[in-house]
Amino acid sequence: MKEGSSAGLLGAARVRRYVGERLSSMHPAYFAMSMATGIVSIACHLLGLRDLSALLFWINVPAYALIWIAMIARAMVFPRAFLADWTSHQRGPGFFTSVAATCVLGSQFFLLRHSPAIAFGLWVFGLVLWVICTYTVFVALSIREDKPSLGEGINGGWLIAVVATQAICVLGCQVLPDRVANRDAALFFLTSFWLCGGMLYIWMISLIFYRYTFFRFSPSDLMPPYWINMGAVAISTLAGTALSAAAGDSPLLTSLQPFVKGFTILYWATATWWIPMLLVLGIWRHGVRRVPFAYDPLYWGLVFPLGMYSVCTYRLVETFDLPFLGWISRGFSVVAILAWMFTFFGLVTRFIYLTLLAARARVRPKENQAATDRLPVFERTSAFQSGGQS
Amino acid sequence: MSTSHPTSVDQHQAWMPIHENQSRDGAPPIDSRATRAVSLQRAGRAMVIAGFVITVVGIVAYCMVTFAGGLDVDMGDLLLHNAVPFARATLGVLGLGTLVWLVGSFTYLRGAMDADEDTSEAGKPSEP
Repeated sequence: MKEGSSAGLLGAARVRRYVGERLSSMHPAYFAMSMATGIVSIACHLLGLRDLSALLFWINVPAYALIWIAMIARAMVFPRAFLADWTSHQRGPGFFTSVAATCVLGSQFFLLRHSPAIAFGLWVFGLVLWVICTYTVFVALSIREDKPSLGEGINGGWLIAVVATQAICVLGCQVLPDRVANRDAALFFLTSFWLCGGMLYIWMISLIFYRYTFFRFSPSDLMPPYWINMGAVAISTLAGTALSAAAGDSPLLTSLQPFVKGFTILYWATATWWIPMLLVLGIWRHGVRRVPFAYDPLYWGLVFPLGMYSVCTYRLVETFDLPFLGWISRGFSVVAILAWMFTFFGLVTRFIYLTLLAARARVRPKENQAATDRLPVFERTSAFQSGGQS
Repeated sequence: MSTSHPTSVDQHQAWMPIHENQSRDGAPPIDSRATRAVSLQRAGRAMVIAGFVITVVGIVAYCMVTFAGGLDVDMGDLLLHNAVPFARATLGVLGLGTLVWLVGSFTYLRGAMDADEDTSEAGKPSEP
């Protein structure tokens, strides 16, 4: 009995250690999972894949809540690691995924559940998060004393700041103009966000392209968030079409229509330019340099742009009446669903592993007791350690 | 996308010492447990791959059937009306593939964890 209880304690300790390791190293960009699930759901909804869209919606709602719980738990249990991320050039911009995930979920509530009140609440929450993230992350990175070189510090994840800004504009165009007395003021506010997002993209992509072409580039540098190079302009396209659709008889947007439409096509063309480039770089990374595929939460940063490209192309077809582009939207929706599925399976595998670990702690006390004797050796093995980023 | 698991079959076979075939606590011999672990991993891997393939086929078929309904208005109505049972069937394929993958993942991970315990028991680390 005593043996069994001590073995049970050992098993519980292993589970706690595993969860603790995952939580302490949890990437702030984990909300990309909610972003990706939400946008793929919206793409499915727009293209008539209603069953799949509903399924993804009901996956996204608890996923969004669980990520918030995990994030808050991390801030409370590992405050140092949490605070260190805010000043990290590599991980800090990942906090912007919370803004984008909130707005994408708001768009889901608006489009799929016809709940403008919930969508508006999420838009306000997203706006608050955007202010917090923008004026803490960038200030913290600016005043930090020891800074990495450009080659070490910049990555595609920085463009999540653009995605967050444009996400405020996209959801705002859906929920804001009809809720405020001064429609023109609302549209002016949202147009400013769209322009700010465009400005941020131009700044950041210049640095990223400079880093691509003038710095040593190893396969490990080409992380999945580099697909945000494309995703950031894809959501800028979507924001442009949303502004065009929301214009109505607004004097401001009526006069700006040619500008908005011109820039919308510019963004779409830029997003399209990135796709072959990123595909070739991906082939070089995985096919030529043999970097194996293994689940990493950063892969959600690859799924989101694929879904967003499908949605923005769909809206572009609507806004400019370009039916000959419809097949692109449909094709990319299929690719996005497949990418989502692969990444989701990778995530579920981790939960299965955790479940088995916990089950073994209860069901196999004798073997765990045997493991007690060799604890120091067992502790050193890497099998139950995280290895990659969480 | 594959997942990184603790112990591969080859690693396990390479590290299993021939003379250490009995565990210290009277549990089943390490050889038989190791064989079982290896077969679990093989079966699990096969099921994972099969699950992936079935799910991909299900998704592609579901999308094709549903998109076919929206090609043009007149044909669309006809196809969409007739496509509903097919769409449901393709969703069934998708669900089946997910189930096969899920069972396969459980099986593979069980085998990998068994193998990991055995290699640790034999005094070797589970990964180099």
